[in-house]
Amino acid sequence: MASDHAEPLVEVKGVSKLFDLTQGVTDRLLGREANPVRAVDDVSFTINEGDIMGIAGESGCGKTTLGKLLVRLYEPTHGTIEFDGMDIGALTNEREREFRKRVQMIFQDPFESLNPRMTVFQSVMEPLKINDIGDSYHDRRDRVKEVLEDVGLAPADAYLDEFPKELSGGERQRVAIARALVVNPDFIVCDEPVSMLDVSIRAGVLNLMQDLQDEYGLTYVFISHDLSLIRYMCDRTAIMYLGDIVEQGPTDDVVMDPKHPYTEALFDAVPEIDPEAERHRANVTGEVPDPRNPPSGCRFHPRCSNVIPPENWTGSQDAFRRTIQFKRRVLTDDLDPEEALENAGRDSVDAILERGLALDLPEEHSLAGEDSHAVDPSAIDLPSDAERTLRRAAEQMLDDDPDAAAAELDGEFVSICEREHPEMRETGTRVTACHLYETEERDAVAAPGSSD
Amino acid sequence: MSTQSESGFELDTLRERWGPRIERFKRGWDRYTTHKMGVAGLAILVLFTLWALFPDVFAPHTPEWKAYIGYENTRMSPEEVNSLPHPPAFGDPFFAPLGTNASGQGIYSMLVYAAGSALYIGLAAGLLSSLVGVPLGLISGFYGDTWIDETIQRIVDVMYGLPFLPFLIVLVAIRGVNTTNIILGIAVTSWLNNCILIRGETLSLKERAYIESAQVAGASDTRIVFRHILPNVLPLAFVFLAQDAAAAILAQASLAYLGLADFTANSWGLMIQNVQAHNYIYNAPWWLIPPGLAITAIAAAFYFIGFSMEDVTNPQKE
Repeated sequence: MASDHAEPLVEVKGVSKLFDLTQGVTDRLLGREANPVRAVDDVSFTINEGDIMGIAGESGCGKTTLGKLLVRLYEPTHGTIEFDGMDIGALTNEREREFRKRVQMIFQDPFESLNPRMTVFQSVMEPLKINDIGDSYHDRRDRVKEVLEDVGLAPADAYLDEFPKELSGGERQRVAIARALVVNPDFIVCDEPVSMLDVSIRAGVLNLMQDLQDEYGLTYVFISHDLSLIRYMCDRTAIMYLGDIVEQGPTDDVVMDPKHPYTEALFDAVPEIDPEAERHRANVTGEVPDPRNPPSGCRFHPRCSNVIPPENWTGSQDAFRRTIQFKRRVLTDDLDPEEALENAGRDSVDAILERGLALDLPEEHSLAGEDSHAVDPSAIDLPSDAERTLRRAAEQMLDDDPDAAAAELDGEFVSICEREHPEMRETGTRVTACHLYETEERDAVAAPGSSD
Repeated sequence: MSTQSESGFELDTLRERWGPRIERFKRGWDRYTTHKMGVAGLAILVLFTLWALFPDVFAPHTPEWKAYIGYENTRMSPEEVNSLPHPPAFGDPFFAPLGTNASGQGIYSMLVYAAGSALYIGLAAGLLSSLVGVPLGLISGFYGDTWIDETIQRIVDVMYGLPFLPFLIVLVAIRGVNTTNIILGIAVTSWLNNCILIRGETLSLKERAYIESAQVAGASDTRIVFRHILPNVLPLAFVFLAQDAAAAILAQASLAYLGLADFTANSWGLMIQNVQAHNYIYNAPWWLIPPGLAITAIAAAFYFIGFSMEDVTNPQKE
């Protein structure tokens, strides 16, 4: 474990990466704004020397983009990344060479990350040649052999003249690791280094990476969607959702006592090995939204189980969650009145209300008698004025006028989660971006079922 | 003493460095020879190369030789002239294994002596179009979607508008009828395919993780293009070189047939053109068929070699 007093090695300050900034011809002709993908959005964190920093999140949340920003494969759209005190966006040629020597990356797919036309020796020696390390061919060859033996490819002579296609997945990933290590770097970004490997050889590669950390004095960034791996490897962990870091802190604290509702849901999604164990399933609804058009405020609020009701809400928090779910379905055109009527078997506003207020949740989180298609509105603690508004919208849906329904609901039931993007806040040992931790009073209000 | 051990050491280093490459070449050769097509192509090419290098060994006469009179500066009798073109003849009064043409030259000798110009045209046009098309394709692909790529591709688009034959007629009209112009004309129109296909391949290759891996290691653009991308497009480039060479030989033959080739040069295409010019297409098959077969054979040889090389150099196939 790294000490808390270690020097920061990498400092990421407000970094964003937007893709597809340029408009197409049709967009330009129609005068449409460019709608970039916000792969990484205003992310800040620090990596201390000697740490293993884990970055976790589901697919498409921007983990890999963040990793590539760290090694300068991408230039950040906004913000700066400092490595050992120097801004890597503005390096002189000489500094850049030094940076390239000290920072390396291990890629996800060992079948892709080695040039199929280069032998193991040529691949591993290439960084030496580029960085002009070693005096003669023999010097370099000895260095390559040494590193290959370090990564467990012994005897090295047997591997030197092999092509990648002649090696197994584990051997290739070891070669890729050797290639990263051969220049004696300080900082390595590992982008899902074992996800393409067989389960049987994963542990071997991971242990090797841990041993090498001690031997070479490395700082790692470990990017993974595999939380058990993060738990096993990392000192500190950052959780990403839709380009945002929602929580970061020491791995044990983040895992054992997640503060952000998303972190909690993410850890609930890890399958339990023990079949007897009672599994706690994630309490979230819906899918990851489109990163081209992320939700306003907190990115997680449309899926969050702990979404905060506004001050003047008199019903329960659960009722509010269902209400904004209804609103969102109407606004995004996701609520199909015909389907709702068909399911209910009768023609009324109630059917739409029942459908719209239902949450698609695992059984343990749903109300008695609820399925994903319908819920009894009377079982929900809806304030009467809210119910009236919803009924009006439902009637308009029934009249086949979704625009009027959308107008009815637009601007109603606005949570702070929807309104404001949460700042990073210290909570205990870690920082998290959630409105729940803004003030103590809100915390009390937001606790599920505690108010009505 | 010391220098001796030093040089011995150097030699060891050299052996160590080149040993695996020689080994790999042997393996590649083994794989090449498993394809009969490739071996046949190579055999044809070797034969034509030998013809081109040592025509006097293979041909009984030189192109200056004439039936009945040999190398002497006399005239044939009217009966002798009437017997031309003469079908294959052995022994007295003259020896012409594939017969003669209308002016008494031996077809077989002409065929052997024309091999040089065919190979010259094929290889020169193929190499020239590869040398222009491949680097431009690499650059265009590597800087895909930038102004560099746009510029190159728009030039290619415009060049595609050039119709081959009218362009060549104009070129020949301006610069005169000679083989160099024909090679130039063929190269100018055939590098476009090279460029576009290599660009496409490069566009896909540059997204591979090993390119990013090289970038992280600090490799320059030049290094990435020539060390990482070029070796991966070379097999493809070779296939196109072979195809361009074959196409150039055929194009030269058709140009010769149209009378656009240098008529003082000796080429297979020109021989066919002469058959037509003298109106012997239906009457002198010994004159018409051999040059036609030679053109077919060398074009096929280039294709066969191209296909076999693709198999040898593609590490994904085994």
